[in-house]
Amino acid sequence: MKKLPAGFWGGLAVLTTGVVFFFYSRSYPYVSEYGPGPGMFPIWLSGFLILLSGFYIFASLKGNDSSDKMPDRKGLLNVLFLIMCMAMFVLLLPVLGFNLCASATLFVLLFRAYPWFVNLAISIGSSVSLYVIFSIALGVQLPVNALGF
Amino acid sequence: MDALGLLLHGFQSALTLNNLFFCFIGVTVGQFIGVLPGIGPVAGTAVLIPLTFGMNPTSAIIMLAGIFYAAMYGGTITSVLINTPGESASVITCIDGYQMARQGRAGAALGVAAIGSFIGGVVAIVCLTFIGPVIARYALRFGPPEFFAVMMFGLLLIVGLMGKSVVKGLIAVFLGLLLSLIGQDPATGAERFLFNQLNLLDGIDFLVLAMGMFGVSEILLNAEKSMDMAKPPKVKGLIPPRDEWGPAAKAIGRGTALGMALGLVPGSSASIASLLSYSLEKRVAKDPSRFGKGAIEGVAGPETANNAYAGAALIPLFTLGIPSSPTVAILLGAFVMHGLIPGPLLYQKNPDFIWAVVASMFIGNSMLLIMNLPMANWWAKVARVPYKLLAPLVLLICMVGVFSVKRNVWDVGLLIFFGVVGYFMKKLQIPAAALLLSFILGNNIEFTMIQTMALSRHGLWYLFMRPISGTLMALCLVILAFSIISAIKKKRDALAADAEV
Repeated sequence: MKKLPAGFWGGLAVLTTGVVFFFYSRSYPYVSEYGPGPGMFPIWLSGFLILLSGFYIFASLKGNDSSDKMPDRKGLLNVLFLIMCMAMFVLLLPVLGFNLCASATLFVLLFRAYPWFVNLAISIGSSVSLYVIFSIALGVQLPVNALGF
Repeated sequence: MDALGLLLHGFQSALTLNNLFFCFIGVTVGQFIGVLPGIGPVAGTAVLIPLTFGMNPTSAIIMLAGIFYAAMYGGTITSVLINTPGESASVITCIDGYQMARQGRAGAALGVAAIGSFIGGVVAIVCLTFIGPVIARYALRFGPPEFFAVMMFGLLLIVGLMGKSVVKGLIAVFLGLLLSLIGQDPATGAERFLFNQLNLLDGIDFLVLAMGMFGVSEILLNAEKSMDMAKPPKVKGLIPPRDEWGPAAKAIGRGTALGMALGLVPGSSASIASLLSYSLEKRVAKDPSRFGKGAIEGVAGPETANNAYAGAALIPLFTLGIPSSPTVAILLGAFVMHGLIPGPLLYQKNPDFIWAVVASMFIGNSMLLIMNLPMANWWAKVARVPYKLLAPLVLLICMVGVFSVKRNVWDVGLLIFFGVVGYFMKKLQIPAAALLLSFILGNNIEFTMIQTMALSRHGLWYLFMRPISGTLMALCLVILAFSIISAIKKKRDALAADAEV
């Protein structure tokens, strides 16, 4: 079976977004006492989005789409690695506190780039510097762990 | 008080030690961002917004505006010395700038670029000084229909000028508008599109969207390729030889006019300004075959044009509240975060602020001239900061920056989501910049549309019944028709660029 172009999948994602917003828009009043209601603008926008996604899917199936090449296996793994590291940061931040969580995330991100002792120094140094800038200089309270750091 | 008097008053504020310091920080960071490939001015400005939370609005905007115009200066250095543009507006400089460097004329290329950038930047700010108040006074007569028409005009120009496909441009605009509707309806306060998530009650924060779409997605894109920098050559003699002064001066003049004109057009970008300036120089040259082999006009024109653009792009923002490019959209977001509403009333309500920012831009450009002429060698070394170290740090700063807005981990999750969406949008060549601009204008577009419809029994036809809004709406239809025809004839590639990232 012929592989479908990337534009087709992109168009499908846009279509899904349009349909979801259209579906929700219908539950809001179309008119209000001031004139247009909260549902009017989104109904038209999502309707047009559905129409445009149709054009997009059609163009990509006809081979008239100009998308960049998707990454090779190595490139894709690098991208996934970064996303996983960021997800790790989100999950661990409330538990470990900023300093530990940021140090651990940086350590993992820089694992292949530097020897472990250099990596450790950079990770801890950068995290503590950011903590000082945000928490102390700018007064933004960053999360701390049960041990208070 | 006339514009000159107000400007002098602005200098009084801009020259305080505090504002001078933040102006210096802004232009230094901007220069740094411009020099480093992989981080553009949009991401750079967005990443640094959280650092301005504790500042007064004047210092904050002085710093953030500094990043915007300084990035245009910095991008030249790596384009000339190592054939790697630091930001998209300097891509075209690689062609002749790098050839000049190979011929041992790197100093002359950097010298003329710095002088041209300074002249283009300063002339554009002079224009902002004198034209800005006039436009703002005129715009005070605008009602909701006029503002609605101006915003629609801006969005359609973006669709017309950005990206290779009208359909993709429109998809980006509609997606941005739909995202802006998440939260509460501006007229009735009704909750919309919360998807059972109370975190969405206040809508999506523009900083989360901007950092995700431009900061995180850029790093994800760069993760696919090697970002190692070549060693830059030594720079000697920054003043071009006497026989090149004439052609360089003419190219600087043309670049200034072109960049300023494009700065006023929403949807254009610094990249388009430098690209058009290069083709203009090639067209007017007596011997076009010199281009691509180290013609000084090929550096002087585009580098002047992108700086003139940066200054002029602030005119629609200050006077009408309309961002003309993604970086200016980030600045608009920063204005709002600091409680300022850009538009005609800004000149009346916050004159101290506006004139201090304008004055700081004269000072910032002077600082940049010094940074770029005697210190070019030093900046070339900065370009060699390893990207493998920089990228994780930028990711971490993005995440901490977003967290610091509401102290909510949800926003960091949303940042990652928009980072991935931005990555795929760039892969599919859907212009993320158009999405960001429409997202920022979305609430105002809906609100002015509701006001327009409430003003008249004629519905949206009322827009065509008033002279200014009617003319603008007619122009919108012309732009849309022109974009569709050019897409059908496949003539859009010349201006295609999801630029200034």
